[in-house]
Amino acid sequence: MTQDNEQGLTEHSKEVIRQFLTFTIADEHFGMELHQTREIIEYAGITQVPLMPQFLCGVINLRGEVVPVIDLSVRLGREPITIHKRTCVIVVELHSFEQHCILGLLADSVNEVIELPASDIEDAPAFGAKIRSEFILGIAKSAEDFIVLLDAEKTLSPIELAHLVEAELEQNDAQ
Amino acid sequence: MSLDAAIETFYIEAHEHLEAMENILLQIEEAEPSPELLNDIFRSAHTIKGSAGIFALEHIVNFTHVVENILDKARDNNIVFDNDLLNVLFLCQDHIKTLVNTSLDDFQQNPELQAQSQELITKLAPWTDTNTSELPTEQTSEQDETSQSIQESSNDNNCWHISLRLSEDCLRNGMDPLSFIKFLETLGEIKHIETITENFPNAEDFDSETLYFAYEIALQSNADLEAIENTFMFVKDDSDITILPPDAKIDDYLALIDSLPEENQQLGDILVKCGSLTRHSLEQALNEQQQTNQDISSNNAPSSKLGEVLSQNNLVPEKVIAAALTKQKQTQTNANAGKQIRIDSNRLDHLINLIGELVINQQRIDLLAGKTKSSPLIEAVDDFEDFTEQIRDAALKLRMIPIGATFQRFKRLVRDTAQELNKNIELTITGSETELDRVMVEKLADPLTHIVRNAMDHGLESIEERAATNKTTKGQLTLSAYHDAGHVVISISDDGKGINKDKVLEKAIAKGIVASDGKLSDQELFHLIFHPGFSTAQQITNLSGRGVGMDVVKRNVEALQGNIEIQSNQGLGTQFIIRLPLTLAIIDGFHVESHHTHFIIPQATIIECIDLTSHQDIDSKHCINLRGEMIPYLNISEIFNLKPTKTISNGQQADKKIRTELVIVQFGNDIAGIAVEKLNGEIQTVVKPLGPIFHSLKGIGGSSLLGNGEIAFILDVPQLIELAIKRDGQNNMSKNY
Repeated sequence: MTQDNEQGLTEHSKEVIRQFLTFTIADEHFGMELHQTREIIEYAGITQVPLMPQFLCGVINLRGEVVPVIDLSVRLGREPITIHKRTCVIVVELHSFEQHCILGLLADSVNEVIELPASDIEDAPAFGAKIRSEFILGIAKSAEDFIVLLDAEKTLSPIELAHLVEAELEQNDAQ
Repeated sequence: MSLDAAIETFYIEAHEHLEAMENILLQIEEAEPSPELLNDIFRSAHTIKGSAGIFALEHIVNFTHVVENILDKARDNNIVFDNDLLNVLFLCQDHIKTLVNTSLDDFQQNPELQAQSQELITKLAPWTDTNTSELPTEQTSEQDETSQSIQESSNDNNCWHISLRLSEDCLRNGMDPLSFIKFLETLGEIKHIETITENFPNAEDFDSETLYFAYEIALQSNADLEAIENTFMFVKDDSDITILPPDAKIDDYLALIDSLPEENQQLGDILVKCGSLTRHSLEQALNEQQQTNQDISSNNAPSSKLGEVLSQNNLVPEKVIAAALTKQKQTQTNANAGKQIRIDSNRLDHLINLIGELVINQQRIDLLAGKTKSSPLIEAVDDFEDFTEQIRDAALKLRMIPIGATFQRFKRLVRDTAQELNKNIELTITGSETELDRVMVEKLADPLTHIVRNAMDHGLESIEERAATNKTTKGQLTLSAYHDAGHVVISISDDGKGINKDKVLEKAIAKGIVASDGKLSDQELFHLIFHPGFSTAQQITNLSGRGVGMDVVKRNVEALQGNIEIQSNQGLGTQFIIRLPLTLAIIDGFHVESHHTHFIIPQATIIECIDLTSHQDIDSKHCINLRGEMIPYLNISEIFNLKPTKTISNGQQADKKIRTELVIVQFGNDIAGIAVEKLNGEIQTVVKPLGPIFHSLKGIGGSSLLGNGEIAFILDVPQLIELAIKRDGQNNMSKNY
């Protein structure tokens, strides 16, 4: 009884702890809220979807489900990711606009799950991040580096992605 | 049953009853009202009122009560069903629907709705006021014989006795005994109510959520046993409710007294208080009972309950047998109702998905078995395939529902709209039994409504116009459905004035939709009416003509992988033909390949496959001459910009001449070819939607998994054909300049 009480007390006095899954793409560290990630799988080829913009690598068969895979690197305005033996796919599950959406993200490696009290998360810098600021939830400091915590809902918003696809297809048509 | 679930059931049932009422009204309008119809519609209204009463939805009860009274009179032939009454009843039916969809709180805060209720009640007044002095004995209801026999034998004393021992948990389950009593008041007059409080505990044991009271009620009412019984529909399972008819014999009361837990003498007093029994007859009865008990004990029979004794000695009044029969009948009807069950659509979808997985797995096993070259295994797998297919078909049938119900709804729409437009329109429905996917039926309702309204508004002429052009004054509107080559076809046709091509073209040019010198085929021209913002109606009516709707129609139908064709003859009429796939979940497809990308063409659209290399392009365009017919074609790798993969570009294979196969596909009346590299054969496949991100990708309707786990794309044949024909047209034009 007393133990329970003590725990309860300490938990109350503590701040809210948020958990992030951290991963690396081309030497940059990113984090995404753990509850939005579903699983991590090995990269085992991808089926390209015709006419898609570069950030949309294609689709994979995830145990009977057809899941689109995004090159986050391109989405964030960087060079496309280079596929190698240890490339993996982070499966993300979003519940935006009352429909849930499953997406895969390519990453060079997945590092760890970190727990951060809200006070350790700093606001995104107004400039210098080279990433659209609305994509960034905050910045966390690790021992040697910064970790960019991404806002999955914004970065991977199905509506915005659909618009980008539409724009690409229209451009194709025009040519 | 929790309260929420009960209310949910109420809403579902109320809507079903409202639909039934509407159908009956339409039938009455067409033909004379039969006693069955009148009885059915009365029952529907009555049930809505009854169930609403249980939830204390007074706004529904009060209004429906008035309607029910009128229907009751109609049923007794006390009033004549004329057109005026029908019109008001249609409005009433609509209003009840509105009320059912409105919560009591919302109703009380909505003076407009209240005014509407009042207005309709006033409109009904001419019928309410007639013949108020009818006698209950004159009721010629078509109810089952048992309750009728009760009615027939009823005398002036129509006082029922209701003994209510509700379950202790009644309040906890959200049922308020007061609401039942209030509802009883709608059935008749409560003469006396006696609350039995002897179970009421000491203050320290009192639990505010437990019901301690029991009731003895004397109800003066002309309602039948069923109506009174139905009052307690939601609590009858765990409560003890005895309803004694007005002319119940003293024995019934004795049986009641005996079956109740309270002291006999005390109960007797209560019954006397209720006025259900006189003191004299009670005493007499109790004496008799004692006598009987003595008789029995003297016969050395085991002492048994009065009820049993009565039945043993054939003393059971007919009423009890009658009641038992009624009960039996009810159970029978319930058994019939059990043949139809409601299933949560999500569960059904889940089942279909699982079966889809089963189909894919089966194909994988098929593939693996083929590699082993073991014939017993291959045979076994073949059998397995057979069953899988049967299971798949059976499961898909679960999703199929006849389109009839959707068509029926248009009867009302056509009736009301025709009246509003002052046109004479007859609606004919054929092929109601044609089945299609439940999801499609739901999504079809809107597009069909738009087309039907348009046909009535713009297509069919007014009575005068029709007379002037030597047509029958009655405009014909036909809704039909049938199966055609793996598709469901729904057609909406009218014998109105048809589409005026010149007018359409003129307007399209004025709006800048087509170039002033553009040449259009009839189909293209007709399809202009689907253009957003296009409307040729000179006058904007409140039905259509705002230029919204027809573009939505086309989009909705295309979203269902279907297409619309229009045929129109000026002066003779217009026909809209909607073609839809049978189901959206699993398709029979043809597996093709280009540059190592897999595609599936829906089998139903394929006419034949030919070797393209043996055919020459006409004028070096994407068009071939197939047995004298010009067929435009698309190269799949070209339109999807597919690049040869590394395996091909590493030298030797690149030089090899790649054979090109042409799959000739048809959708509606259009034919085109799809050029691919490799034909892999028939395949049964589960459609996996590609998701919203790929929504704007034309030509691909979905994806599917192959037996080996690879992903194939399902081609959207209608879109591809459209594209092929458009390109062909462009080529023609460029040749002209």
